[in-house]
Amino acid sequence: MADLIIFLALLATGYTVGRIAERRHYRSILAREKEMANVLVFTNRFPPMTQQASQALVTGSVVISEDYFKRVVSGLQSLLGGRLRAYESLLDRARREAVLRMKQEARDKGAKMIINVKFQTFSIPGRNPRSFGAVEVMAYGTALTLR
Amino acid sequence: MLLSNLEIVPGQRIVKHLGLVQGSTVRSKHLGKDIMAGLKNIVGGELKGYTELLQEARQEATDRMIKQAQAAGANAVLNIRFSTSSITQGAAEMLAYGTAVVLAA
Amino acid sequence: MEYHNPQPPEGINVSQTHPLLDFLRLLGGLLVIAAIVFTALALLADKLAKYIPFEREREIASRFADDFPASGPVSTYLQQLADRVVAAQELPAGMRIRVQYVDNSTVNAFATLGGNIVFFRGLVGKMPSENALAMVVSHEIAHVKLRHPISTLGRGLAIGIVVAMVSAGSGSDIVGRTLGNAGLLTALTFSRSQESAADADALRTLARMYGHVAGANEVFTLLQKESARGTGNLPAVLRTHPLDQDRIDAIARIAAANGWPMLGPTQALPEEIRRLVEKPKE
Repeated sequence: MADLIIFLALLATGYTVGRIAERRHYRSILAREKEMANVLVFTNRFPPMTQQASQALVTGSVVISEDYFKRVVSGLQSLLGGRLRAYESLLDRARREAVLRMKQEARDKGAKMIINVKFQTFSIPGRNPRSFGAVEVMAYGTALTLR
Repeated sequence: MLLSNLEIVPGQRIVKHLGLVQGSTVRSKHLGKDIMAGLKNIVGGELKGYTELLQEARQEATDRMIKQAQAAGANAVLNIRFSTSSITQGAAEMLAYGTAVVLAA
Repeated sequence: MEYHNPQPPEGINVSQTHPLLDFLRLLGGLLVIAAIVFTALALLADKLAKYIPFEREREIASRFADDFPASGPVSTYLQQLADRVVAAQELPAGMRIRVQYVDNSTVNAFATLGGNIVFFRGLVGKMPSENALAMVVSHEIAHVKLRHPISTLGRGLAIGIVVAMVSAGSGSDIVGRTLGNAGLLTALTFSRSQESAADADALRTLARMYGHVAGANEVFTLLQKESARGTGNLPAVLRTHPLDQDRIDAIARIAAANGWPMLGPTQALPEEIRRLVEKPKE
């Protein structure tokens, strides 16, 4: 019985705090994406031929953790298979956050464009196989500063 | 040392290819951070400690790659790639690799 | 060449369903599946229980628990009563009943694996007559005769399988444990249909022993009195059984159908036993 109460409390905490945090994060992402809109990102491998530019490697990374609610839901969902909706938003947030951090670094260097952007997603292993659900998303590319 | 994940540098010529250079490091998270992360695991959100840990590790891998490139006499590393893999429970390897080249204007 | 970054619309890479709705739908679906799997396994266990030889059941039982020490006059008396009941109840060949008496105020009696029947002092002390006690003894023996303990064990295994399935899949021990606790509570009691079957069998035995079923009548009068006082005092052995009134009606119906009188002369418990099981006055 005590187990059940702890479980439900964790579930409720995870859900409320996690959902509030997610909303806040999305608001912040949207605001910063508008602010950073003048730093352009592309996956092209080649820089624009018409312009001379100096270049630098820029990276952005974030480690983001699931909340308790997401973990339970996805655990149950994985019994049935199908779409893990709870994780979709988690990874979406992480990826956009990583891009924003990369853009920030580029802007700090005075660059207006990042090309050859690559993503890398790394799931952080826990000390025991079931213990952990955190994921690192990293974005990197070459920032071009026009001369 | 110029670092880039492009294969060319606009306006500069590659005069010498010096081959693959790589830097890597294996890091384990420590127990304190693990406990904090375990708590954070309930409510979710960013694990700043881990973000920094992995950034540091990646920086170290990059620095080691640069050392290799310097030893080879290069002044730039092009086509850089990063890779992260988990080695054992709780530990990760960071790898940075690229091609060391000598650039001339 | 022009370079632009138009902002893509929101919500393409994420699903828009409400997470709670999603969760409830998931939980409902899984519960239905778990219930189906459990029911199927439990039915299978019930069906297969009959084919497990009683000898094998005894072996399983001996692995689970040490025997209570069988000594003392009450224990001997209960065993003798049980032997008389067994003679009237027509047990299959090779099935032996062993009564164990626990000197404890708990108002309970239960049948368990391997033909072991456990009686607590609290219950024996509440019995108004030997006929009533014989009814309860016979009821418990009926469980053994009808192989209920072993099929309950099978049902427990079925729950174990479902729990293992869920907790392995969900990666959450707590979910599995909670489900397991809930399941175990239902598995460790006999089902309603099992209780009704045991009642009917006990009634037949009682009629054969005494020529009337007054003992059953007494047990259920006691039951009604206790339940009127609130379920807290209700003997645990009776609490989980079919609803009181349903049960009494069923008893009356069976008695009437077979022409067994509901009333008749009853025999008191032997004085020595009565003294031993009566609550010590402190």
